[in-house]
Amino acid sequence: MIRSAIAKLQIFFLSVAFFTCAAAFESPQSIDPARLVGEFQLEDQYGGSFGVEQFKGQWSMVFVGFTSCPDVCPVTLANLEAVRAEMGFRMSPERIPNIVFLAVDPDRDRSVLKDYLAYFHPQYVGITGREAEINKLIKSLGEFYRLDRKSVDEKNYNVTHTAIVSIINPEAKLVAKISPPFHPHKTGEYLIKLINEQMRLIDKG
Amino acid sequence: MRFYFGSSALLATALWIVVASVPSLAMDSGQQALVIEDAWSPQMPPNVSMAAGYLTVVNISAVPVTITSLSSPAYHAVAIHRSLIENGVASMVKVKDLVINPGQRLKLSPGGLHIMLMNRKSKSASTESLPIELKLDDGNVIDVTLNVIPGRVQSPQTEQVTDHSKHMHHGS
Ligand SMILES: [Cu+2]
Repeated sequence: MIRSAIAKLQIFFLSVAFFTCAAAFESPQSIDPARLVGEFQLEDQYGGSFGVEQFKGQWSMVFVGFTSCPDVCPVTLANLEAVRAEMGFRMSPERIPNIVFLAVDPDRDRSVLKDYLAYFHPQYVGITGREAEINKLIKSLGEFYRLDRKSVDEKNYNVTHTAIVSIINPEAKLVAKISPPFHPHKTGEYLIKLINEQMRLIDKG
Repeated sequence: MRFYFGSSALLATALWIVVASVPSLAMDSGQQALVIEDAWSPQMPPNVSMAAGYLTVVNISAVPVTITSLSSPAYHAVAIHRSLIENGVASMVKVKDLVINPGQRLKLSPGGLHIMLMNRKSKSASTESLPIELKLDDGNVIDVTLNVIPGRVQSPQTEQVTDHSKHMHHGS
């Protein structure tokens, strides 16, 4: 009884989340007022600890994915790289967001994350860790993922995850969401405007 | 379509990869119903046990042909998948039967329809080629070699910007 009520509640929250996503889909959305990212404790691909402090000091784009994703994840990373390249023409390098790949499938991601990023994009940061800590960051960003795993022995399971990228400012605040397709020119244009405006506010204090 | 029938030899020479057929089950003319072009797989990092494959399949016969299953000596499981982004959520679904209609040219490319190679059998992946087998509903089996392409996957967005002759709507 209680369990079914909780299930219903979960479905309700999920549909709210989906509805919100649907509204945001394809056009970038600013988060106003900007929201400080909550505490979490993960590790980067070199084993260094990565928490909310590590968002401070530079712009970041957080992308939710997993390494056993040979099709859509490499495409999204390539698209985001194209956005960064576009921004590079018109913006000083220290304002261009770093890409942070939040790997949500630690059982398979932990051992390969370093190689995966070294292979595709050595300058990117990859973070993963304990499920509970991953969930804290996911929740704080308002994102969603699900391991489609029927048992612990299953090896070929898929991971359903949000394709929306969170933009985090140098004060570790969530300021915007961008959605696929990440058209280099349009997305780059939006981010340049957003970042320049935000930097003006930050500089004013 | 009729044109393709008569000039299949010519067509075949123009194609990147020509497919082997199973003689006993081949069609009347000895003609294979499906022609595979541009079969490739982006090279994955050494210890990632999943990979994707892409190709273009052309049905040069007069009847629909279905790819019913796939296999590879190098992977435990192979299937056709479709990547979907719906309401901002990315997922992959298995495509059980892939039907290619007469005259249809179906392109599998990154971010959409793909061949999913799951759970690699050997410790290390081949850096050159990857053999797969496609089983068809007409009883034929097609051997395809995916060329392993090193380097990162290109952004389809960039491709779209720089190459206006290419259209991205295939298979959607
Ligand atoms: Cu797949």
